[in-house]
Amino acid sequence: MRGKKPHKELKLSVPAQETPVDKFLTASGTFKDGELRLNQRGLQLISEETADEPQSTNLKVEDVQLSMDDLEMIQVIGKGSGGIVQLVRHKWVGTLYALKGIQMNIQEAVRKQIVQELKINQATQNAHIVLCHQSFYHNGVIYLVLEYMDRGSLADIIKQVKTILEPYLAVLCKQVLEGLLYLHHERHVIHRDIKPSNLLVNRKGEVKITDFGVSAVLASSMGQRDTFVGTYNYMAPERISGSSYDYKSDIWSLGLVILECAIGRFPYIPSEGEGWLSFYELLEAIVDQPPPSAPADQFSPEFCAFISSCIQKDPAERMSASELLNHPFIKKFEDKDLDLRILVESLEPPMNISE
Amino acid sequence: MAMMVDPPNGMGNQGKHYYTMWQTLFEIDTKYVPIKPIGRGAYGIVCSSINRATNEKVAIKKINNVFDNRVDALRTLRELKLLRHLRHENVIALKDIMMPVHRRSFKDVYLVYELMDTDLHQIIKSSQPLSNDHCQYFLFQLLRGLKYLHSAGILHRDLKPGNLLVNANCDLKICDFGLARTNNTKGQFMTEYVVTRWYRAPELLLCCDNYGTSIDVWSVGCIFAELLGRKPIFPGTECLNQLKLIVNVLGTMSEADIEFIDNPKARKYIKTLPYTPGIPLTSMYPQAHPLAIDLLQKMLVFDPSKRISVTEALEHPYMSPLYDPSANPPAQVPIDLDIDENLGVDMIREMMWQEMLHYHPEVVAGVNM
Repeated sequence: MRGKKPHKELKLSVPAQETPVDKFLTASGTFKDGELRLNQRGLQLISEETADEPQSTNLKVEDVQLSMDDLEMIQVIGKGSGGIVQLVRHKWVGTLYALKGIQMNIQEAVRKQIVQELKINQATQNAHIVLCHQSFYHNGVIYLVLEYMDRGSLADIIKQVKTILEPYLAVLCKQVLEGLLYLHHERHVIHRDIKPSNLLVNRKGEVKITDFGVSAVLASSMGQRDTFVGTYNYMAPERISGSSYDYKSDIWSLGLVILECAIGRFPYIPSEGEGWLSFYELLEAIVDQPPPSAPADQFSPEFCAFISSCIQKDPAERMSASELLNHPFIKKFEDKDLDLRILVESLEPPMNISE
Repeated sequence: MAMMVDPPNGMGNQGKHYYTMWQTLFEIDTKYVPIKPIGRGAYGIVCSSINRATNEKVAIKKINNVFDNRVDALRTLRELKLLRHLRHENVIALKDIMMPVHRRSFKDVYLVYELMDTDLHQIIKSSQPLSNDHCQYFLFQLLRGLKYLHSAGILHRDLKPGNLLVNANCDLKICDFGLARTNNTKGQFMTEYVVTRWYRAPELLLCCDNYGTSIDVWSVGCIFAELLGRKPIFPGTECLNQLKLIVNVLGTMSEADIEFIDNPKARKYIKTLPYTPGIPLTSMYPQAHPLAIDLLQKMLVFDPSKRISVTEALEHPYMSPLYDPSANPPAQVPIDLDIDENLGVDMIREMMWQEMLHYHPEVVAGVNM
C-alpha cells in the first residue's frame, strides 16, 4: 500500500528547538535581547552594571505615563506593511494615537533586526517623521504607539483633489525633504518605500514620513513574498535593475510622487490609457526610456528643473536632500508664509477603514 | 512550557480551559492538554498537545484575530475547505477545528493537526549528514503527495522546505494550503502572492497569465537541490535578481526556450541578460548520485511545457527503488474550491463555522445559536 520500502530503516535526529524560548522571553512576559527589555510597561535599555536591578535609562518623562492599559481601541484604521493599525485613545488624557501591532517572529535573524529597529525608533526625533512614542510587547505581538495623523495620507488627498498646485507642492516637498535629510544624514537610514500612502498629513498641514524600521523589516521577512502589483512603481532604476543603491534612491521615489501630484496620474501610465503597465513594461519604461518630466507648457521652469533634479536615472546626477532644500523651486515659495492647512481643511477626512 | 491559567476576566466558557504559551492565551477544548509551544506556522502560534480521548499527540495552531485581515481570512477558509477533503499519507491531516463559543463574533481559530517532529527547513539547516537514501525517500514522498494533489486538480503554489513536515522516521507530509488553488479556477486572474520567492518558477517571475502544475515541480526541484547542497539554490533578493540567479545556473536561454513567455516586454528583458554558459549541476553537487542530478536537471527546466511532470518524475530511474506504479492513489474527483474573492468578513466567518460543523456532528444535532 505504501509502495516499496527503503532498503534500510532511515532515521533523522530531530534538531533541538531552534532557540529555546527562554533565551528571548522571560516567564513574566518580557521580550529581551542584549540590553533591551520590552513588555507591557514599555521599552527599556538596561546598562550592564545595573542588570540585576533593572531601571530605565532611556524613558522620556512623557512616556512614563503611557502603558497598554491606558489605551482604548476605537477602530481599525489601516494595514501597514506587516501589521494592523488601530486608532486608540488614551483613557485619561484623551490623546489619539495610531497603534500598530506586529506579530513577533521567532526566527533569530528577524528578531535581531526588530531589536535594532526598535532602538532606532526609540531615538528618532524629527518634526517630519511620524513619532513613535512607545513600544510594547504583549501576548506575542510587538506594539508601536505612533503619532496619529488625522488627515490620512497623501494618497487619500490626491484621490480627492487629483492635482496639487505648485505652491502647495513646494511646501509639501520641503517637509518631506527635511524628513529625508534627517533619515539620510543623521540616522543613516534609507527609507526604501517612499510613496503617497507613506506620507501622512494632519489637520495642521504637517507632512510626515512613516512606515520604515520595524514595519519594513517585517514586510521583507514575511516569507519573501511579494507581488508585482504596486511593489516597484516608485523604485529607482538602479534598484529595480538589481544594482546597488543608496540614499539617492529615496529621492527618485519622492520625485515621482511629486510629479504624480502635479499631473494627476502616476507618471509612467500613458495618459491615453486607463490601465496599469505590466511589470515588464514598467521595467522597460523606467530602465530604458528617458525619465518622465513635467510639461514645460503647464509648469514653471523652477518646478520642471526640480523634478528633473530628482528623477535623473543616474543617481550620481540626482540631487541630495540637502541640495534640493536649496533648489529655486523650494526657495521661490519659502517667504510666502504658505502652509497646507488650507488645502487639507477643504477636503473630506479619509475613510475610516482603508483597505 | 504551557501553563494553565485562570480564564480571563474570571469567566470561563463551558468545555474550555486556558493556557498561556509565549504570553499567548490559548482557549481550548478540555479534551486537549497542551505540552509546549512549537512555534511553527506563518500566521499563528503552534503548540504540541495530547488528545486525552485518544491518547494521541496533536499540534494545535491558534490563528489570532483571523478576521483582522480579509485576505488572510480567505486564505484560512480556503485551507479549511481543502484539507477537509484531502486524505493521503504525505499530506498533513486536519483532525479537528475547535468550535468557538460565539458563532457570530469569534475572532480566533484553533486548528488541530497531526503532530510531526520537525520540518525540512530545520533538517537542511542542521549539521546531520543526509545520505542519498534520505534525499531519495524525501523526494519520493513529496512527489507522491504532489501526485495525489495534482490528480485532484490542486496546485499547492507555496512548496518550500518549511512547508514539508517530517518525523524522526523520515515520514514526510505536505502542509500549508493557504495559497492552494484548483487548476480549473474560473476566469480569476491569479495575480496574488504565489510561492515564496526562492522557490518561484520562471513563468511566475515572467508574468505569464496561464500556469499549471509545473510551478509546483519547479519548487520541488529547488527543494531537491537544497537537500543535496544544504542551502538554497536560488536565494534571490528581488524578482529580477531571482531571474538572474536562475539564468546564471541554467545558462542563457535559446529562442525556443523562451517562446512560452507571452509578455513581449518580459521576453525582451530575458534577452537583455548577459550571456552565461551556465553551471553544471554536477559541479554544484559533486557528491550527488548521477541519477539524482539527471532528475534534478529535468525538473529545473525553464520552459514549463518541457519540465518533467510529477508522474514522469516518479517514473524516473532515480525513483525506481521506491516507486510502485501499481500503488497509485485512486483517482480523485476535482475538489470545488470556488470561493468568491469578494466575500465580506461576516460571510467568511459563517462559512468557517460551516466547515467546523463537519468535525462536530454533535453540534449539528443540537440547537444552532
